[in-house]
Amino acid sequence: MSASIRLNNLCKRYGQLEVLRGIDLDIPAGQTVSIIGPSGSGKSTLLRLLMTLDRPTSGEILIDGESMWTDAQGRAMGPNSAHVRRVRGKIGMVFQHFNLFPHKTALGNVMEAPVHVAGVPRDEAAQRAREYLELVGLGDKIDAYPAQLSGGQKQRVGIARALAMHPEIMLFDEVTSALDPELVGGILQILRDLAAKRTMTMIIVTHQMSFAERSSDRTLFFDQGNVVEDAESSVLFSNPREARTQQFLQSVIEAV
Amino acid sequence: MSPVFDWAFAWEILPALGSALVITVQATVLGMLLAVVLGLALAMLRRVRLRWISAPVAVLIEFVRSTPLLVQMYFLFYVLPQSGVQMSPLATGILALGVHYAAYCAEVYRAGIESVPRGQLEAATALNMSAWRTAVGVVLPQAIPPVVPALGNYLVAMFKDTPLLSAITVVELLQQSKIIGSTTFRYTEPLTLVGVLFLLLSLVAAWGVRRLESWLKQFGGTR
Repeated sequence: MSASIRLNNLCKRYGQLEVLRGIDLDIPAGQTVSIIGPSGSGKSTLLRLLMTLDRPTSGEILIDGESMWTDAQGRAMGPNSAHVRRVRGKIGMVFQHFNLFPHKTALGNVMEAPVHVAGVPRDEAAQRAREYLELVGLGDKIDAYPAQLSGGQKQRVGIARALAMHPEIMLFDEVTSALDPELVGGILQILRDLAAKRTMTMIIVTHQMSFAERSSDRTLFFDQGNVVEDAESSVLFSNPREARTQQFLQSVIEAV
Repeated sequence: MSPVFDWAFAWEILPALGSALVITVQATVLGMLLAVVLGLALAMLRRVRLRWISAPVAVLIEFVRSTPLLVQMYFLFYVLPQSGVQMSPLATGILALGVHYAAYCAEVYRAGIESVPRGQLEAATALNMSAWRTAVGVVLPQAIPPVVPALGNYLVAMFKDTPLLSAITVVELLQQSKIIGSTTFRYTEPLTLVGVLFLLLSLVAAWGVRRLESWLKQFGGTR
């Protein structure tokens, strides 16, 4: 099951700094969307807002038509309110720096939320956690602590940990940026496989242009807190409409 | 003329000092238990988002840390009974030690809690964990092991503060040695023994804390 996302005039300011300047966006359930753009353009901030890690300055986020920060009566809700927690429960996130729990094994990391949030019995949660770790190719590392794992392996645990809560929406925040180059391919392959199943709405902030082009339905180009261009991935990369997009893609290609 | 240090006399008073030492150790262990638990509670309450809880807790911690332990002890000893609370002098002393050191421990815990990276909290939020589960399952297991040495220092410091209990009539080690001194007019042996006993137990406590520290290392994990 997957959920749709709608953003209405979404703004985020940190003090004087305007990070998101009124984003309007519609993402249908099951779509895989890549977000590209220069650093500081607001890509990661958008994911943070979608994950409820930050509250919008103004504007609205709707998940399956339901407002994230206000209840059905239009009252503002706190981050620990039942309403926000219910909406948040539909969303999962994988982080650039993994953010694994260092005091827990790979299995412990994946089991934590199913046991303590979803209330799944330990045995069942352990069994399912093993399956998720096998799915991401870590079946032989279930008892390893994060410190004993490579970056790529840590990120696999991060993906398994998020998947174990069956999110309807998955957010990937530059999940390959902290990895050694030879480990990037494996993680992208997992993302590709997940996208192909179409069981989740996926938003992927990435600097891997070829991945965005070939493996996502749609790509957004962000610059200075705005969505500058929003198109089918193949179109955006082969035939960018906006001068700013062309310039960005040009500079990225030259860097390779 | 009697010798400066009479070994036979020292040997003779050792049992009396030993039984007083039991009181001292009891006060330290129970006081530290109270300090470690109450300190953690204070540290967590201080971080609660609701200001009407966190602000008074912050004031309480500052107040306790900024007033002398001896004053607090006298206050509990003389004022508490007037409000109808009856406690033995030893229990009063343990309460005073525990509350006083809880305020210090709360600051130590706070340092530990603040050293846990933000990303850990964000991961917990992303997994939809409750505030309680985030604290117990994610933050504290990473916050406490690194601060055990600092807590251990306070254990030793509290141990050395137990002679203050003599001010509220508890017959602990120092008080016992003074009683011996005043009845025999010999102070050298009892006071020397008090010093030696404090030294020995401080060393034992420090060793115990180091053991605990290395045992805890297997839990905190490395980032």
